[in-house]
Amino acid sequence: MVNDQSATAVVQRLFLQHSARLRGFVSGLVPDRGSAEDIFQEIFLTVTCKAADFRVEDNFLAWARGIARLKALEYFRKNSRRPQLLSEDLLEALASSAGRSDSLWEERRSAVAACIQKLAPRARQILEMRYAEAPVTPQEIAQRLTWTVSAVHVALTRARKFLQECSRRRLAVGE
Amino acid sequence: MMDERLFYLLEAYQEQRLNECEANELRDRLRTSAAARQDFWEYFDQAAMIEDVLRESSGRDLALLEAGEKEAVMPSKAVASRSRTRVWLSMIGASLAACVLIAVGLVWRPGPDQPRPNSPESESAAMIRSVVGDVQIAEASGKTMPATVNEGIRAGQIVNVGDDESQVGILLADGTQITLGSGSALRFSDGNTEDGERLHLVKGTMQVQSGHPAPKANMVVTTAHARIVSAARRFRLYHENDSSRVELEEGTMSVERLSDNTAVEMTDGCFVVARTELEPLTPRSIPISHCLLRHTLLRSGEVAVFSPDGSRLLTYHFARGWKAWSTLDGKQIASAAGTNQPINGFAFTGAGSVLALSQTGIASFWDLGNEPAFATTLRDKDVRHGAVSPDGRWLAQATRKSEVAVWEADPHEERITLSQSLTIQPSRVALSTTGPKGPQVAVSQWGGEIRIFDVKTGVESAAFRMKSTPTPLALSADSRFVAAYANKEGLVLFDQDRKTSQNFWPGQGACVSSLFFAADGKVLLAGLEDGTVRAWSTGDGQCLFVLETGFRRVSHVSASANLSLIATCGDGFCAKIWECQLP
Repeated sequence: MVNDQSATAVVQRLFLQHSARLRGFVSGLVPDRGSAEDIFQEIFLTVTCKAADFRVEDNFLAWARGIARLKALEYFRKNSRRPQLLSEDLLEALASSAGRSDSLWEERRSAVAACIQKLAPRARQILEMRYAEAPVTPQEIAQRLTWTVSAVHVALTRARKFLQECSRRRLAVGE
Repeated sequence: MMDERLFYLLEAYQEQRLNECEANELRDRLRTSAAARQDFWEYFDQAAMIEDVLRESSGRDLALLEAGEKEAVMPSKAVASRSRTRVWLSMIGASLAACVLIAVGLVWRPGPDQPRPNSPESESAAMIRSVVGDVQIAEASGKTMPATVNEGIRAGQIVNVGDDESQVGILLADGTQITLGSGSALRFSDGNTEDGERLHLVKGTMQVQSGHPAPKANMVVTTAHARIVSAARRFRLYHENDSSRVELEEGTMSVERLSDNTAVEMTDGCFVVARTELEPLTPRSIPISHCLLRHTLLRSGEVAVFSPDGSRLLTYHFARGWKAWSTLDGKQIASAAGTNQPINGFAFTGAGSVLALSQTGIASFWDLGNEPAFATTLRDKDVRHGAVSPDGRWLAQATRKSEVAVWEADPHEERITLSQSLTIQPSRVALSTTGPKGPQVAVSQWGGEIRIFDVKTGVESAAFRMKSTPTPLALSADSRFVAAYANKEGLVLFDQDRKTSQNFWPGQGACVSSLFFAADGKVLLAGLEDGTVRAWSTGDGQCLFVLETGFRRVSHVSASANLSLIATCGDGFCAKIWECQLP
C-alpha cells in the first residue's frame, strides 16, 4: 500500500503519464467525445479518491482501465434508452482484450509522430482540425474547406491509413 | 494487417455514423474474432496517439511534477511556511495537457553520455519541440521559414514567435526547455564566446526549465538591458519597453545591467528589473501564492465563474456547453448544451439562475439541472464584444455599428429589456453592479480611450486614455476602478475616486489575457500568457502573489466572492480550482 501522504501524488502522476492510453481506451468504449471526456474526468476523480487502494507494485494501467470499464458501464446503464452499439457483454470482451500492446506504446507513438510529419499539407490540416486541441466535426471541416462531408471522410480515412502503414513500416525497420 | 472493411467500420463507429446493418456487422466481428478486437484497440490507440501528438499542450504541469518528483505532495493547507517548490508540488494533480511532454519532451532528454536518436543534429544548437500558431525561423541572411516540430535550430538563427497566442517550445541539447511567448524573438548565438553565451532575447518573454536538478554549466542569456548568467533550474525573463525583468523561481544566477555593468547575485524566489536608466539594481521577493490546487476539471471550458457562495463553478465550452461543478468535490452536478458559439459573458443571478450572453447575441437564463429555458436574441449582427454584470442584472453589447446596447435583465420574470443605446464606436465593454455610482458600463475605443457611462441614464461619468486599444478591460463591481491592458503601456489601473492611475505590469512582456476584480474591488487578478496569475492590491498597487498555474497560457481567471477560491482556465480547455489564502 502506498503511503497515504504520497498516494494521491503517485496515482495522479501515473494518471498523467498514461492519460493518452486511458483516453484511447475510453474513446473506444464510448465514441461520443463529450461523454468520453466526462467519463475521463470521472476516472481522474475516482483514481484520486481511491489512491490509497493502489499498490505501487500493481499495474496502474490495468487498475485505471478497470475503473474506466466500470464508468463506461455506468454510462451505458444511465443512457440505456439510447441505442448503443456495444452491449455489456461485448464491452466486457473488448475491455478484457485491451492493453495487449502497452509495452510498444512509446515506439508506436514515436512512429505516428514521425509519420504525421510526412503527411501532405492538406491531409495534415484536416487531421489537425479533427484531432487537435479544439476538434471540429467533419461537417464543420467540410464547411470550412468548401468540401463535401464525404470528401472529408475520405481524406480522414486516407490519412489514418497512411499513418497506420507508415508507422508499421517504421516499426518494422526499427526507426 | 487490418482489413479495409473493418477499418471503415471502426471509423464510422468512431464518427458515430454507422447505419444499422454496419453496426450489426461490426458487433458480429467484434464478438467472434479476437483479431478484430485487437484491431479495434489498435485503431483507437492510434487515434489517441494522433491526438496526443497534435495537441500542443506543452505540459508545464509535468515539468513542475518532474521538478518535484522527489518531494511529497502538499498534505495540508499549511503552506505559508513552506518553500516555493513545495507549493508548486500541489499542482501535481494538474492538467492532462501534461501528458504530451511525457511522450515527446521528457522522453527525449539527451544527456552528454546518452545520445538519443532524435537529438538535434550535430550542428544544431536546439530543436523545436512544439509550435502553436505562427512561428518562424530566420536566417542571418534574413530568409525566414515556418518552424516545424523536431526541426533543428542552428547558431545564428532567430526564432520569431507571432502575435495572437502563438508560442514555441524549444529543447536544448542539454535537456533545457525554453518556452517563448507570443511576440518574442530569440537569437541563438555561436556559443564560441568565453563564457559560452548562446542566447539573446531580442524581444518578448522566455521561460526556462533546466533539464537537470542542478545545472552543471551556466546558461548565458542577454537582452538589450541585461546579461544573465544562470545556474537556475527555472526562471522567467521578460524583455519590456525599457527594461528586462528576471524572475528566478529556483536556483541561482547573476544579473548584470548592461548600462553600467552593475551586477547582482540572485537566489530562489527573487526578481530584479534592469532598466536602462540608473536606479538601484536590487533583487526583491516574488510574492508567494498561498494557493493549493483543489481540483482539475479536464476539458471543461474556456471560461469559468463561481456561484455567489462559491459552492459551484460554472464552465462553458463552445462545443461541449455548460457544466456546473461542485467546488467541494470537483464533481459535475449539471450540464446543458452550448450554442457552438463563443460566449461573451455569464453570471449567476439573484434568482439562482445563470444569465449568459453569446457572441451571436443570444441571451439565455439557465436554471441548473434543466435545459436553458429562456433565450432571446439581442443585437445579433456585427457584435464585437459583450459583457454580463457580475450580479447577472445587466448585459452590454459593443457593435460595429457605433453602438453600445445595454440591457436590463429580470431573472425572476426571465425578461430582458433595452436600457440604453449609446452612440459610440466601441471596442470592448465591461459592466459593474452595485455601489453608490450605480451600475456603469466601461467602453474602450480604438486608439485607447476608455469612457464610463451610467447605464440607467446614459450619462458619461469619466474618461481615461491609454496609448493603444486596450484588451482586455475590466470594471470593479462598485465602478471605482477600471483595469485595462494594452501592448504599448501594459496593465493600468485607473481610480475614478482619486483620479489616479497605476501601472501594474509592463507592456511588451507577457500579455494579459484576462482580468478580474474581487467583489469588493480591493484585489485585481490578471491571467497572463506566460501561464501565471498575478494579483495586486488596488489600494497600494502591491503585488500580492504570483501563481504558476501550470498552463502554457491562462485564458481566463475568476474568483469566488471572498477570494478563497480562484478558477483558472487554460490549455486544453482545462479549468483548475485553487484554494487561496491572501497574505
